[in-house]
Amino acid sequence: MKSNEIKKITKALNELQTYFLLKHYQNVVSEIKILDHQIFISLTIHHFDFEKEEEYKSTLIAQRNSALEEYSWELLGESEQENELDIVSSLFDEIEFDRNNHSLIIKLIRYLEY
Amino acid sequence: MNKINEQTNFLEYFFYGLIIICFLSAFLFDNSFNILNGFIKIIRTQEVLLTDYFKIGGFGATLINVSLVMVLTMLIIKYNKITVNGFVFAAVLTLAGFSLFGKNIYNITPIFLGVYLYSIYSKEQYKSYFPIAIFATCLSPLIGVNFFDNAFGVVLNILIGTIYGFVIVPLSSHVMKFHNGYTLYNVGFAGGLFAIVLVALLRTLGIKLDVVNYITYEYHTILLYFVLSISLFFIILAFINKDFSLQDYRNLTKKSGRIVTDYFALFNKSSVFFNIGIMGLISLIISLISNIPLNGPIVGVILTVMGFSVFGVSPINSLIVMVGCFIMHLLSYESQFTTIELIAILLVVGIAPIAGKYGLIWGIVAGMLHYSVVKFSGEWQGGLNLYNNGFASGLVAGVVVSIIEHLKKEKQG
Repeated sequence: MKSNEIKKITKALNELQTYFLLKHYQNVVSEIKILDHQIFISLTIHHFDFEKEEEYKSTLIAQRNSALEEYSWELLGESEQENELDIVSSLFDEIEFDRNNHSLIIKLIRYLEY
Repeated sequence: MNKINEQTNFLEYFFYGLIIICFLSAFLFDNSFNILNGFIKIIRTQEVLLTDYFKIGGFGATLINVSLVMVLTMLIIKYNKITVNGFVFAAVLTLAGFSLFGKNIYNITPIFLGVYLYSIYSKEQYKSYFPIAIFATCLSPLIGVNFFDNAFGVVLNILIGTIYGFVIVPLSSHVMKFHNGYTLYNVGFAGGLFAIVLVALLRTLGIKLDVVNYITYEYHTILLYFVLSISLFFIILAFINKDFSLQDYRNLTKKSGRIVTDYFALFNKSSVFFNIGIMGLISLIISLISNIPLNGPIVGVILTVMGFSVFGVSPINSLIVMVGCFIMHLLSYESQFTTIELIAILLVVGIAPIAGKYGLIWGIVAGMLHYSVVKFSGEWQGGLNLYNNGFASGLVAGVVVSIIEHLKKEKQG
């Protein structure tokens, strides 16, 4: 796998982690799996405020776009700008939201051959 | 996915419509002989800033140039199955606008080729880089630099243009961090950096590069109707669509506009159409108030503003930086207000995200600094960068935002 590919997904994950930590969630667990044809990321936010769920669902919508991705992925990282979630969205083919007791689980899938 | 397909189809049809209108208008208002002669002059001219093609080649030839540039671009878009989203719309409309004063079918092709070669080298699809390639044509005047007045000179021009196309993708990616997405003209900024280094090299080798000013005002009326028609077209379209909502549009105007803000992805398409139309009208009104007759560069710039009205520009964030720009003009020692000053005030919208994020005062400061930098930066780039305002905006955004963020951290710390 190309190094750029790894940089993009780690930046995306870093962006998501930073985002939720800055929202004062104190227990955020993440996982990355590189499979044959896809990269799978999951983020579990414990003790989640489910009143905000719709807000995140409307911001994190999978809309993979290679041109936008190449143009803007360097902006991902550690800053506090909400519109970086739009950049995250442009990196993934599927984004799903699940609940588990008091936790929100966000699953992001990026196909390797696009 | 259906919403995206519908939107892509509409935007594509808009561009096809523009091609047809330009092509037919060329033959309606001019004759074939003039068009051919004028087109040859356009191809052969050295297109440094500011070179109005209406003056160089005449009305018909200029519109044929716009048509051909857009046909080539749309063919590449269709062949590579590129989705026409807000980003691509901004790129193509900017290209159309600048085809009135600097970009032509000959001088954009080596740059497209260079980016294509880069895509092969990096083993990525061309579609991933093509919007960047479109913006990268900001340095198309490079292809017209007169190194040697023979075939070798032409080959050298094409080679340098191709090399530039090859390096602009990684360069533009790298410089994004400098301004943190607070200029919408990232590729213009990257192109400007390349141009400064190249121009220094060329001047050291004795090659003369000077900024020029070839403009004609004889087509003011027809250009006025053209810009007015496109602006009203989008506004009417907004109301015809049943999903227009003032609240949705208000939400659009509240976005800072920082990269990446694709309004089509975030809001109803009616709100976006309305925004395009409104920004077109605002730009037109400012131009008319300035008392400078419309010309190729001004109309090209208005089209650029309209293009970016889907990708970060809206009335509130724009007007703030425009006011800052105008204040600086009033404070400047030069009292003349020409096409160049008007273009700076229109294109300052590239740093509208600074006003959108950090408010009125910082927006005005950024606008003021943009005006100052633009006045001198064209010369640094030898007039080769058509996006001189893009370069200035990147510089200003990088400096201003880093200061703001530092002050914020100190205050919080």
